[in-house]
Amino acid sequence: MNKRILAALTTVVLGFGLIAGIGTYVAAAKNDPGILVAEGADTYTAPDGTTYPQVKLSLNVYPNSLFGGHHGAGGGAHPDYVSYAAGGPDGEVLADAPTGTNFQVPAHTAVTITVYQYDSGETLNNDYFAHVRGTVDGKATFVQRWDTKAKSNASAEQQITNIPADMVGHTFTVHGMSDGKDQLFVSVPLMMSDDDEVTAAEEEGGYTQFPSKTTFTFITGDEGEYVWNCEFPCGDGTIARFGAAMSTMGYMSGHLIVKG
Amino acid sequence: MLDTEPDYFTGQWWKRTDVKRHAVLWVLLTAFIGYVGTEVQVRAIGAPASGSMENVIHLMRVFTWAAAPVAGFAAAISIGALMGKRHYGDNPPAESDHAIKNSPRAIALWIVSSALMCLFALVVGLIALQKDDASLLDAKATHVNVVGQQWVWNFDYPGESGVRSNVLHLPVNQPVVFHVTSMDVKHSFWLVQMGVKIDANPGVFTETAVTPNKIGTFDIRCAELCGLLHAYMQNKVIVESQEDYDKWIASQPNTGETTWTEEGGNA
Repeated sequence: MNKRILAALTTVVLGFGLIAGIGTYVAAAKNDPGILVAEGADTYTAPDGTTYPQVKLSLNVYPNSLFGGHHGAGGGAHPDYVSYAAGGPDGEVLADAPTGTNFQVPAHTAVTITVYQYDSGETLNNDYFAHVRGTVDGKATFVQRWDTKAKSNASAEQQITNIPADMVGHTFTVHGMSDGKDQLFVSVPLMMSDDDEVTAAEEEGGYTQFPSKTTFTFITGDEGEYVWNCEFPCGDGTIARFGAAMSTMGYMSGHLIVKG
Repeated sequence: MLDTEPDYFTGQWWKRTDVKRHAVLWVLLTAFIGYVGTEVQVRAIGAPASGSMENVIHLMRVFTWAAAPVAGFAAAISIGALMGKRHYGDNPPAESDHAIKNSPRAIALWIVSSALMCLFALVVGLIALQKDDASLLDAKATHVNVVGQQWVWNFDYPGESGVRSNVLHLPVNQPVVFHVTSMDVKHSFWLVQMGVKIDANPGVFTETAVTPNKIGTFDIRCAELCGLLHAYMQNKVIVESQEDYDKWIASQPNTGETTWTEEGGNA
């Protein structure tokens, strides 16, 4: 074969190989490739009397990836990253959760999410996100201290529409449009846990016994794929504290797939 | 430079076949580039929802048609060169040497025509900008604070109600002034079908205005790459009748926490 043609072919093959390698690396770098399908529950009757089928999700938010979640033994590639993760039905820490940031829920369904928030907190950039938005009735059910050992409330349960903007641990915020379909916007602030307890638990090799517990319900629209993320600046010092865990899918952001 | 180089512009040069061929190609390419350059991008943008956007589209048509003859000329010369004589063999022919002539007349023509085109673009553009700014000066304008944050927008409406929303509602045919800022990094507030795009900078309020003239639901996007979920930083703007707008405002909860002030600063 002519040397020039051989060189040209080799260049093309190497080029394709390089592109395929980059694609494979990017695909493998998702950090959370799995999808957590919400479990069907009973039916849900909204305040306006409409009845919907209901599914439920139980999530935890950890101050690091060391002891729980889907990042593998020792916290995986970024053990210091704060992270959402799938949790047990009563907030149990699952050390080997298969996935925790990509959720699948049905269309036109009441989705009830309970988040056990194990991290401390500070002040939000924007107090807009200290308010509960987009849930049924614009409210959430909140418990400041949930006892994970007794599996019961360690403080009074209350209905909230907002929390103090300087006591926010994280938020769960679904936003954006999916291919021109319905816009879905749900934002719920998650109260910080006691700072001293969080620190003490971490030093002992675990998470606090008393996370805050927030439960909320929203109604999905048509099928589509949306994104969610935390709106509390809990990343590292770059990009206005939206770097690191905040700029890496699989930690403080993921997908909400409305399907079926 | 070749001593035997022919002077193309002596005698009745315009009657030569190659000149005629290039002229026909120039005219055809100008028409093609002008038509495609205007119609494709205008249709891709969608129907305008404000006078500003109509102004922008008009400006795009004018600029594209003004530039089409230049692009057509360059394309005609390029195609003519590619279709011309070719030499095969290892030794390049003598006429392949660069034949560069210093022509003061051609240089002057190029400089003057370029300057006139720049002046034309400047004047027409400034007139268009002046029209866009008219809504800013309207004393009856509605004011909205636009706050960008990774990776969402939210909107504050002035007045006692302290309405805050993630969907922008606007009354039709009513001037609106936007006070735009960011809570973290740089974003860009883009009302796609209204021809409004302005940077949202942290710590600073930038101002822009528009008068929506069509009822409907339109797109808001971030036009500044701002991080992981930049592509999802989208919202809807709902333009409705004044009556429907008033109803929507009245139906919103009174948060009492609007950040808007008359001076456009944080409350």
